[in-house]
Amino acid sequence: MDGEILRLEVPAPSASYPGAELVAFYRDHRLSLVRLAVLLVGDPETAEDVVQDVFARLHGTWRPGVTTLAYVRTCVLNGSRSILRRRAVALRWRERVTDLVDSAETAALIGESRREVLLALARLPRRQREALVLRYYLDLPDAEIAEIMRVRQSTVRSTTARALARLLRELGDNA
Amino acid sequence: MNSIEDRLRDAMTARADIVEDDYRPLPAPQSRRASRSSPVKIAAVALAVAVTTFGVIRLLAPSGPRGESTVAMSMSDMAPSGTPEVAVFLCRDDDPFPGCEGGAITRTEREDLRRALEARPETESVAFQDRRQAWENFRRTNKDDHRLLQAIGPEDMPESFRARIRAGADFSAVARAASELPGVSNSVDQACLLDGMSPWGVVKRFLGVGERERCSFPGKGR
Repeated sequence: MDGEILRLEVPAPSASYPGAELVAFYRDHRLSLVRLAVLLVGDPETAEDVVQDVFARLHGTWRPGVTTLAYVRTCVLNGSRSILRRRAVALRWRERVTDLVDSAETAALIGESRREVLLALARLPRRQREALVLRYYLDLPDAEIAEIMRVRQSTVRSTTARALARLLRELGDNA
Repeated sequence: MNSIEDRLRDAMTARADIVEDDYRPLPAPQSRRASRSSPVKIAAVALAVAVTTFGVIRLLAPSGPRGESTVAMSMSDMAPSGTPEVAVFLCRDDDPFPGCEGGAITRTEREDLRRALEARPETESVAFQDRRQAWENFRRTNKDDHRLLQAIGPEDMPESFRARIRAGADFSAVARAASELPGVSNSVDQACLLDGMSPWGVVKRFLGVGERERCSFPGKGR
């Protein structure tokens, strides 16, 4: 029982399962994470699924100071990547995900000019899209984007530059 | 005229704002995955084999709903002999673990990892478990859950190294060290898991001590 006694000295965190931190975090950030995911995967149902899935997995893994908003955003990014990858296998994703505007109703609310931008965004390679969403939707600094995407800051900058150049080309003179 | 940056900001904000808050409750841990079949859910169940944390122990608590224990058992994924080991799961392509950014473990990373595990003073021996073996184990522990078995194939399972640890040596140190090497998605101290399921572990949980002891160490990434 020596091992057991040693382990008893590990300080027990104050919050009880499922963790007051997780519940509070969910309340504060769920919607913003779904909105982030919708820009990555296209439709709100899938975005909800991605986020729900991330939270289902966060149970029991919550570490104060380690499980940060950046960490959870990374999870959302990875979850979105997985689903896009799987969707690509299932039905050639271009047929379904080329449009971040998933319904006629949304299209009407958004307007043609914005829809054009979103269409171009959806056609970008995954990493370029991610970089633009983090940079221009969440307005994050390069350092934080690098942390979330798990790449170097210089990579963030070059990816963003390439993505913008490509958007400009695609949108032509309208930009 | 608007710059491309401004147009992007505006379009993305407009798109995102349309998503309304439907106030979904916090999802339950893992367990509901078993009964659903969309691709993400399947990924989550497969992942469950690798994700082995304090949550598992909770699921096995006597009060836990019956259905939850299936996934939890598969998570523990003990060696056939029942001897606890340190299980070090390797990154797959498109692995959802944050430490797996950059793709599957490379040949060099794999060799380095094996050497590092073998070099630990705590280690007695190291074995490799491929997807097929992992799936056989998974199938054996879940033989009554047909839906789960239909959803999961060998290709969903992670590969792993299994380190046998000398009697009395520190499992946790090996698991932690392994998690810091590139190409590792997650490493699990099974002795810690077993302890969580023992009567003494149940008492400790009841007393609220040692509850958050770490049995699982997510990979630190590259």
